[in-house]
Amino acid sequence: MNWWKRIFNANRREQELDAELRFHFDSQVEEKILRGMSREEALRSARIEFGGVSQIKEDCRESRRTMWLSSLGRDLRYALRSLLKSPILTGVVVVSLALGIGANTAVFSVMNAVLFKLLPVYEPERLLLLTWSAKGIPENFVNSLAGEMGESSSLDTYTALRSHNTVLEETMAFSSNIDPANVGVNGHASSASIQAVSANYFSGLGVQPSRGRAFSSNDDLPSAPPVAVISHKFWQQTCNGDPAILGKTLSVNGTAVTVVGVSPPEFFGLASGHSPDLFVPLRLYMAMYGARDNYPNAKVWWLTVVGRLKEGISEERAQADLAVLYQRALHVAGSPAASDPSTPRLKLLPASRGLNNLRSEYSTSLFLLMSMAGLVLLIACANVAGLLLARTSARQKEFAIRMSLGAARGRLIRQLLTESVLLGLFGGLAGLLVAKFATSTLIALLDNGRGTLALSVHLDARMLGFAAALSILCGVGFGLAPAIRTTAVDAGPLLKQHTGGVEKSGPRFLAGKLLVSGQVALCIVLLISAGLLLRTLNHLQTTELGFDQTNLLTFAVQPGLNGYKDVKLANYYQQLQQRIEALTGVQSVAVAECGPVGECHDTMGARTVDDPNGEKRYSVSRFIIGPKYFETLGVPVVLGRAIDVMDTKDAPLTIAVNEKLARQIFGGEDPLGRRLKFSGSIYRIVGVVKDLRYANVREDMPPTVYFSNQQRTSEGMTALVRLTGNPKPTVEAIQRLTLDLDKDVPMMNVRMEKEVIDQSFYLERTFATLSGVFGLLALILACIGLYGTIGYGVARRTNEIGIRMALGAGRPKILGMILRETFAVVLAGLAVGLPLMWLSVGLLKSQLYGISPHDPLTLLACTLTIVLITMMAGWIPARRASSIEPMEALRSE
Amino acid sequence: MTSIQKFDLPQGTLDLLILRVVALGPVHGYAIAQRIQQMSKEALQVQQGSLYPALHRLEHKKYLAAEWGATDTGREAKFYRLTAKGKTQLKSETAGWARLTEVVGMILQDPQGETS
Repeated sequence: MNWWKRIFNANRREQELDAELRFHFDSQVEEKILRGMSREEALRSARIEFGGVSQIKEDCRESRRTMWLSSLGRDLRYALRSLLKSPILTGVVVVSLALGIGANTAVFSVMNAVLFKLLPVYEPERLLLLTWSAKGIPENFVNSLAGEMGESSSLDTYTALRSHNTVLEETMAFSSNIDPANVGVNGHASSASIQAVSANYFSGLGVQPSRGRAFSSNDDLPSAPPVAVISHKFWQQTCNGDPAILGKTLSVNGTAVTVVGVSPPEFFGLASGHSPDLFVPLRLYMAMYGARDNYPNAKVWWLTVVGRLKEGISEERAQADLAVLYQRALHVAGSPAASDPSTPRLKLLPASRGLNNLRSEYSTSLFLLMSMAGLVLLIACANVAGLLLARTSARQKEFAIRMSLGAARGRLIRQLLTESVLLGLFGGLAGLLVAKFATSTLIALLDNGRGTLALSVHLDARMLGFAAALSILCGVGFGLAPAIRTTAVDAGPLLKQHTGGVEKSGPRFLAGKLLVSGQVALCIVLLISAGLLLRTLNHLQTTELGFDQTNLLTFAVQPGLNGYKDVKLANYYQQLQQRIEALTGVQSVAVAECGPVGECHDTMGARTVDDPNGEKRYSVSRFIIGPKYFETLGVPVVLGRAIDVMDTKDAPLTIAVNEKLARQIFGGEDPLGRRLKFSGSIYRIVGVVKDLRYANVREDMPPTVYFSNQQRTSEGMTALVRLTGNPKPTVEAIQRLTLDLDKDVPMMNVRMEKEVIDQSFYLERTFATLSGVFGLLALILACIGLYGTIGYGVARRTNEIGIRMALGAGRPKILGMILRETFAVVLAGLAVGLPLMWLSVGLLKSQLYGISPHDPLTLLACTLTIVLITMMAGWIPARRASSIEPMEALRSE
Repeated sequence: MTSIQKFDLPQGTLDLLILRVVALGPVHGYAIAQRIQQMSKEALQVQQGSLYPALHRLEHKKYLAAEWGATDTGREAKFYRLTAKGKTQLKSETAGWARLTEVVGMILQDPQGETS
């Protein structure tokens, strides 16, 4: 008989069992009547002999032990019914589990994508990244370094390594920096990011374009027509997924470039997180950017080299072989002394997970988030455990009754198991939904609307499974333990036990309280973290920046990429400024190399001139600005004048400095007219301006020098426009005007300064928001746990309370008694949580600004909040306890 | 499980007795209980609580097959009969039982074992 039949036959079998036993019973009665008993007597005696019919039936079912599935169905039905009977408890458990599971899965999935995931390339474990290390900066070998220290090489080194090595199957290279580019698609210019890659990049990695072809060595020949492979995202978003994109021409920095391929959607380049929109061959890239950066020069290191290890060659062998080649290449490139201690030494690193810049950027944050999510999971587990503990204990009587009615102990335990697993399942399902939602939210939060965080994140099944298993285990463990104990004892005494009298506060009760205390302890940790992070954010947002941020529009233009140079470039900026100034709704305009509060932050050496104590060197921040810069920003000029139109290329070299620099270099003396030397040229100070916080709000204002953009040119500039009215029409007018000026030079990063500043706090805000959410979650969960435990205690002690009242205890006294109990639980939690926080707060330190990790105000406020809110949660059952009617309570069972 | 008034039946013995009774021909549960009682000269009284689970167990193991039929008095009852598998089982269990009693008897009758 197959399973299906078994279930369908279950009903018939029950009826048959009934009939069979009925027949037996009747036969017994008949026989007794035949022996001369009266009918009543016979019935009575037969019933006594027969014993519990249900028990016999259950034994019969058990003896078949086949009805596993049908009894599972019954268990499930019953479990569902019993869960629905207490919807609040079920809801709370499911929501707790969902949040715990969801949060952990989401954070872990993102973390996994950023930190641990292998590249979506062919045999990533055979990829090696070429890095070097040196004592100090190897000034004899390199003038200009791109990317992280130790990551880049020169074109010559790359070529030498590629052509002479015998250990790598393929030696690939790509530009360490991803550059901005002005890209025109169908005559519409927009900004995009571009990366140079060697012709063997895609084939060497084993990445097959989803459309079109990869580069071939022909694409890198001097005579080759310009071609590009575009990213999947760029194709979808900027080219609107044009199905006929292959063969189309893009205008890249003014050069016509043919699209030959689209990279697959899961490939984001080797540096996970920041992916280029366009891949172009090295030669084309050098033609576009080489004039600026002098890429063919052996002292300009701009390429990251990655190799694919030949099969059967060990990493040690490759390291040894390549190290020799590397040294030779360096010396061919014209190093003076072989014994130079700063000579770079080659080191191969595994590149199977991509390069590490994103990892270092986010790893602290993600680990911190993971810890927070872990705490929430712990609290959720404790909550589920506590609630189920209370629930199972409360159902002891039900179990006793069912056992005395003939339910086998195993069946009862199975029933409970079914309920717990069902709860876990619901929790897990809901958790999946939460995780799905939370993952995209988390990525958006981390990316903060920049749209540059390109990750392929899949919900991590392992984490989901782990979190779900942990929660279910919690539920099963805590739901089952009391049941096993209860069902182990004889049902009789339990049934006879009158709930009256003073209940012993057994260990079971203590366990519930301990769980709640634990929750409070974890809760205070999360709350204080949230408090500290929120105050950090607040500090950052209210930090005096030194300039007026309201109604300030910023955007960037990069005419230099399209071939503008010298006078032409200066004219472009002048034109732009004049035309914008003429618009209505514009108060003033200025251009500068960087907008205030941005990513660019250049430091250079300044030397004093005609100092009687000899030449001194200082490290200063430098900015290239145009006329009306200080006026537009609203930065007061303290001494002298601002950089102006008169500071042209042919005029005497002039600079403005900030007060900090004036103080640091010239002390109390008048800085006006004094001179400073920067890389050979001498500049005269014509003005001193108020300090303003620039590149990074967190950092102190560094000594700063402002150059005139006519005397030091910059290929790209950020325009700062002070608006007077509604920004929208003005922005549109500026957009038209910019394209009018040159249709191939688009506006980039058009934003209001407030947004820019806001975005620069994105990590802080993300943290503050998330930890706030986690803290709140923890608080709610802890309150529910407390309410449940205390409430359950009160319900069990109704009788005791009644007796106390009958003996003369007043209502306030009862209220006080319960509240004291609540307070003890909370206090125990705080006693553990506060020292825990005190010790672990160091983890947070790097995320804080302007606040001590042991900030007393935050500690106090959070502690008070927790005490207040938890006491409120405890007050409800306390009220209920104190409003018990003594007579009713004594009568109650 | 197997509790019998007057004295305890060793584990599994009830199954053997049931198989033996059913081997005589199709019979319903009540009759099995009575037959055992009679055959044991009232020494064994099988409780319903042991009988029916045992019957269902044996049926599940396919030693017994059951079908509904009319009794002498015309009532519907579930009649059990021995299957081929049950017959083999009865044979081997009977042999096993005989061997066991023989061995146990041998030990119990050994004069050295008696305390003087």
